[in-house]
Amino acid sequence: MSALEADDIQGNILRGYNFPCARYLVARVRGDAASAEAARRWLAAQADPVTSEAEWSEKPRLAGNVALSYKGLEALRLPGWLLASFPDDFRAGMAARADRIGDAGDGAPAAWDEGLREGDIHVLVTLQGENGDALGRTTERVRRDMAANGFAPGIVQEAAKLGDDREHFGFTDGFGQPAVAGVARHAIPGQGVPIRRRPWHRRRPDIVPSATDGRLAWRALRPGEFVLGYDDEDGGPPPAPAAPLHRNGSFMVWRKLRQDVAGFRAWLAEAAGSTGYDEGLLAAKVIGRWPDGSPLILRPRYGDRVLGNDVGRVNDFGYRDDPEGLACPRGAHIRRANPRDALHAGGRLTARHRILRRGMPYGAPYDPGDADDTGDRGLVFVALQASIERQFEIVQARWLNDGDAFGLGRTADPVAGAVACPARQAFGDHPPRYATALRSFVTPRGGEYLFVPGITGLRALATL
Amino acid sequence: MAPTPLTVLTPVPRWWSVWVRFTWVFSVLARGLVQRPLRNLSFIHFAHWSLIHRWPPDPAVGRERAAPRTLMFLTTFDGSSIQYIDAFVRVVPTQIEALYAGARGFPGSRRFRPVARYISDHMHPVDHAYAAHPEATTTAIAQALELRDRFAAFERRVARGSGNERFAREWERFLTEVQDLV
Amino acid sequence: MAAATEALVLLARVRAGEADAARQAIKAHWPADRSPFAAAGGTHLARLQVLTPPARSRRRAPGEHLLLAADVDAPLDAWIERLRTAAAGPLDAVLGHCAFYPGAAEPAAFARWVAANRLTVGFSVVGSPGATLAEVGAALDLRAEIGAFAEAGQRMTPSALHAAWRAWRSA
Repeated sequence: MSALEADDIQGNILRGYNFPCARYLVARVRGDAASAEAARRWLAAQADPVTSEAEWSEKPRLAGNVALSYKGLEALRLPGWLLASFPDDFRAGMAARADRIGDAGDGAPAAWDEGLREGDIHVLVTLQGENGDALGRTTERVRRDMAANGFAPGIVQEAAKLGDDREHFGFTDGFGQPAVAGVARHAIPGQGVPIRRRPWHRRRPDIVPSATDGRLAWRALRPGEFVLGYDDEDGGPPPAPAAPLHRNGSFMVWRKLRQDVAGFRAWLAEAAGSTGYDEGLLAAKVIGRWPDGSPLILRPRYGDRVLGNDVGRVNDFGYRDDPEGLACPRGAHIRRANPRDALHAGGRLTARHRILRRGMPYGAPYDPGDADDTGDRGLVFVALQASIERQFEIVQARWLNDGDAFGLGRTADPVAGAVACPARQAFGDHPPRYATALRSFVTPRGGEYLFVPGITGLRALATL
Repeated sequence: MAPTPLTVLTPVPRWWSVWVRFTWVFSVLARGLVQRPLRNLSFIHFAHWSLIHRWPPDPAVGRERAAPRTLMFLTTFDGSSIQYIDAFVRVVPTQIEALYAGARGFPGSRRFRPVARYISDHMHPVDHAYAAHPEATTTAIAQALELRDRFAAFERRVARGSGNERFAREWERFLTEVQDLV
Repeated sequence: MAAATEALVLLARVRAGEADAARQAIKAHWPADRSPFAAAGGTHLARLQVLTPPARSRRRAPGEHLLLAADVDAPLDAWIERLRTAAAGPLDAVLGHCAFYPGAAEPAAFARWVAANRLTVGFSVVGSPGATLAEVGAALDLRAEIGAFAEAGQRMTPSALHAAWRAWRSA
């Protein structure tokens, strides 16, 4: 397997930057030929300032990256043979795939926020940094620059971490990520593919034993699951666009998801009454972790802040010993999003559906006393993978919007799935408890499928 | 999402068709090795394999080139075809090899992309498909049937008359036992 | 124990030059939302398609064929007869393009033609082999009702639960 060309892969894919603030600039390429050419040259010029996966000697104060939609590539007037080499899911765009991923009703593309609708996002510039004000100033500068170079700038979506790496429902998030072979930081138990431990694994650098289960080990995923041009879990490089965009790129799913915190809490209160569970325990059963991050499968009755902060242990678990979901319900959010060994045949049927998540919360924290609360808060969801259809769409459509894979029938996950019909949540117990969610607590507000070019690819846009 | 029908026709040489018929007899005798693993995948409503030794002729046409001996595969399954092929490749590749290794152009069953391409090249679009319960998956049907039997046993237990307390205890016990079926 | 379902795989030759007409007939007489298969009763899953056999390499493709396949409540003969009576028109419209097809009017001739064009199924995998269509439908309905009762009953007192149970089971 070839070593990863870190200098040529855009940053924040294989390793998260871990900045506290972000600005997402959306822009369209103006329709005339001169603008298209200016825009291509501007994008190519970003190949130098854009942040790569190369190691930092010192962490910069700011990092910038670029992604393009298919409509953006078309507007840039790339040659037809190159456009045709992109996969169908990316070419269609997120709005056209709404049926597949359950974006309907309030979350339907026709209801998305202005500026984030179908065709609005040709280019997404992501700026991340330590300081919101400095980021804001840089954002304005970039916008002006883009406006002078063939783009019609659109909206700017701000995002910022809440304290403790939490998201708006109150749970720590973002630390359960796939381990990628060849990326040193990823040798953490629980991030890879769960496999049966064997004595010869000690000689494999991509396999790390579990500390919580003596029969389990974790194998890092092949980089081709996330970055084009490298071998994936199928033993070869994944389908990729034609050269010069064939290598070191990735596909991004960018979605603004509004979270109805008040609605979620109200439902929890009601469901606590009907199930008899304490609200805090019920919330943990819905998510699969306690707010401090400790997983229910390891701590079924109480959270454990020490475990929640222990990177080496907090993800080191499987579900094989809990088939009925007594410790962690079968339909809990993290169990659906990454079933590990919960499906038939161990981890084999989950390995090809992992996603890297690099999103960030947006909006002010929920304050029930605030009479002026607009309710506009949630998550800018960012997922990276080699195949949108095989990875993001299958997780969303088959595991979050549908519980059949877990024996739960057509019930959706109310904190991340589209609740198309009343979704009875099942909490394994003696006797089991049930609570029906009538609607989702997360609603898509817009987004797009994007291509994150390798840096060589970005530079090549000028001459295509 | 209604289940998906798939029709795949693969030409097979005569010697392979003999082997295939042998494996069918063997499979019936060795349910554990073939049928059970395929059934355990739990997204196959029905899957049927037939050998077409000679395609039916048209009497109005004179001598014509006969189509080759063909293995016909008909199936209806839940979920996306990506998951279906992934399951064949990652969970039951040996069983698939047993049926297809000698088929013309078969690329081997251990890698997803060549198998997906092979299926794509040999599949035939279904003009009309019908499912009596389009919303019911194989898993849901299997759960429902098992639950029906256990529920009937529960009803027999409580039909003999019970006080409220005993009934409530029996109901809780029943629910606890069948919670992976409800 | 005899299986509750049987499979029919019928492969018939479409007369030369009539493949497109057969496809048009399927479009016209076999709409996706009102399938004639439903009228036969006891049809779990079924399909109808015109297909081209694989061609020997570098040779002209052989003629096209019609595939009718169904998984139905046993016994199969009874289902075939029900299909013939309930869907004679749609059957004739499509199968009328097949060689030797006698029409759906006469039961014995129809049954003979089906038998002559039937393929042996060598090997099957069936998700739930023991259930008729009616049993499947009833079981699915019951499962939904049990789930609803389980949720509704979870905080009831034993007497309220028992009363609700009696009301449910006697309805």
